[in-house]
Amino acid sequence: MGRAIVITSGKGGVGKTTTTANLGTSLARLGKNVVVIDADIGLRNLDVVMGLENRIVYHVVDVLQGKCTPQKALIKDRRIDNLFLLAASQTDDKEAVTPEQMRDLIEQLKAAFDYVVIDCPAGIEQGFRNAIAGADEAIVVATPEVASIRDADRVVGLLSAKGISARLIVNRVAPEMVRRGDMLSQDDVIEILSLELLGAVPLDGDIVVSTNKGSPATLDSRSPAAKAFDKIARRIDGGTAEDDERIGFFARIGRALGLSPA
Amino acid sequence: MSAALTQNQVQLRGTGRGLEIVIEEGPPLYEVIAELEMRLSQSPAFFAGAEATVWLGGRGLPPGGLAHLKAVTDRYQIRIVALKSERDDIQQAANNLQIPVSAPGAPGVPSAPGAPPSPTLPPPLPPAGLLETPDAARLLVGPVRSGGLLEAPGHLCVVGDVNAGAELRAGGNIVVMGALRGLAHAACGGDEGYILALRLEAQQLRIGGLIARAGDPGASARAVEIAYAAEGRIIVEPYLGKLPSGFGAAGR
Repeated sequence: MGRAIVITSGKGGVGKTTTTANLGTSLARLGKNVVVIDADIGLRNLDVVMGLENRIVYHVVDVLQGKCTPQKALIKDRRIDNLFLLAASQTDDKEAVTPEQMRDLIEQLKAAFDYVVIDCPAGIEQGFRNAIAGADEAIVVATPEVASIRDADRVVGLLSAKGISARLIVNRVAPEMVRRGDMLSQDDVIEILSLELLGAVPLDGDIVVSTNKGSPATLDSRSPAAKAFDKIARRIDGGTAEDDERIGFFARIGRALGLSPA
Repeated sequence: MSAALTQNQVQLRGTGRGLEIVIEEGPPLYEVIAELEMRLSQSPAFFAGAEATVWLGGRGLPPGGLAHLKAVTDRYQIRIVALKSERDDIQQAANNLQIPVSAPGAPGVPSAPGAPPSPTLPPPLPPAGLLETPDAARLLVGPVRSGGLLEAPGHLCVVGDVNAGAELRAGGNIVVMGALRGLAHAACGGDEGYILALRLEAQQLRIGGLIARAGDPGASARAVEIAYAAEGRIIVEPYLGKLPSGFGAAGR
């Protein structure tokens, strides 16, 4: 039985979809069977970030309405054998789906995959409730900004009310700005949210390029952000920081900031 | 409600059954009424529509005194739903004014001889159904996250942080064993209370009908601080292990 992990944040634009695509790819590269689900019905874009847009025939609403089997709607990534996408519908809205339907679907997928990674829409309404319905655990993505932290805090409260434990990814950390005192450090974010940190992802222009190309950075890039996502994926999969023999850029900046190598 | 200010001749307290007006034995009635008017006039909107129980205990009133008192409460749209008095003449006067009257020590309200009646819980809070005793405290483990609303008819203590966007409301005092970044409202429905936090970083504090805003946005508390209401405003100062004078009387 696999694990269902929802990637959520409350606030939009902090990197949920990018995180979903990169962690899904990283986990698949670790040899796991992975399906990523776009739960942002009506505003689908995980398919674009994954570069699989042109291959969508059926989507998650089709599956939930019984128009096709889940197997038929799963799109296999053309670069990695064990990575699949279940796309969102672009023509429906969040009310097309109920949390109960999502829970059933994710149960089915968990039977076939090691990881079911769910890309949650922004907000805390119906789309959020659908996305977290079948999740065993959550990853909350926050950027080091007050607004993002506030929303993340709200989401963690809602998750814990549903009995879903959350871990944290701090996205778009700019070490130079942190050093100058112009940006909250990852420690500041952790202190406010009191969550376990899965990892921090540095601000990285490579991510913009790879997102636009439709090729997740963790697929081929050795950019700082890609390395951070790889490390987070290993940690999700049960590894510890010490397993990471490749101490790269991010560990160095961590040290420079006086942090223990995370 | 803690915070019995001993120099006060009249105490206003929120309870689960409404407002309680407790009139002390000693001072002459005109002083009592003057103080009552002064207190009510500070937040008239707060008291409008309240149902009040007036505690007189064993004290007497001059002729016409009760009618005078009722005129004041009427003016602030407070309805006296019960009068507690041990004295026959006052009970008679209350009957004449059609105020329901009974001897102190009604069921559920402990009344030790010599001690002022112990009022309880504030009216603006929805019935929590759990705490009906005076000075009851609710202890919760944080963090209280954005969007979280915690209410307690009596005192409220949170072990952990209260994050920005969260809200605490208590009929009594609030103690946060962590950082207080959200909104805290102590003494809801009353006027005397304090807010104590290991790190008082709230953008806004409310005590009774008073509101205080954070001053310097960059400043964060370095020491344990206490906020309390005094002389019609909220005072914030370092907490050095002792409540400000006037608080904590009667061991509460």
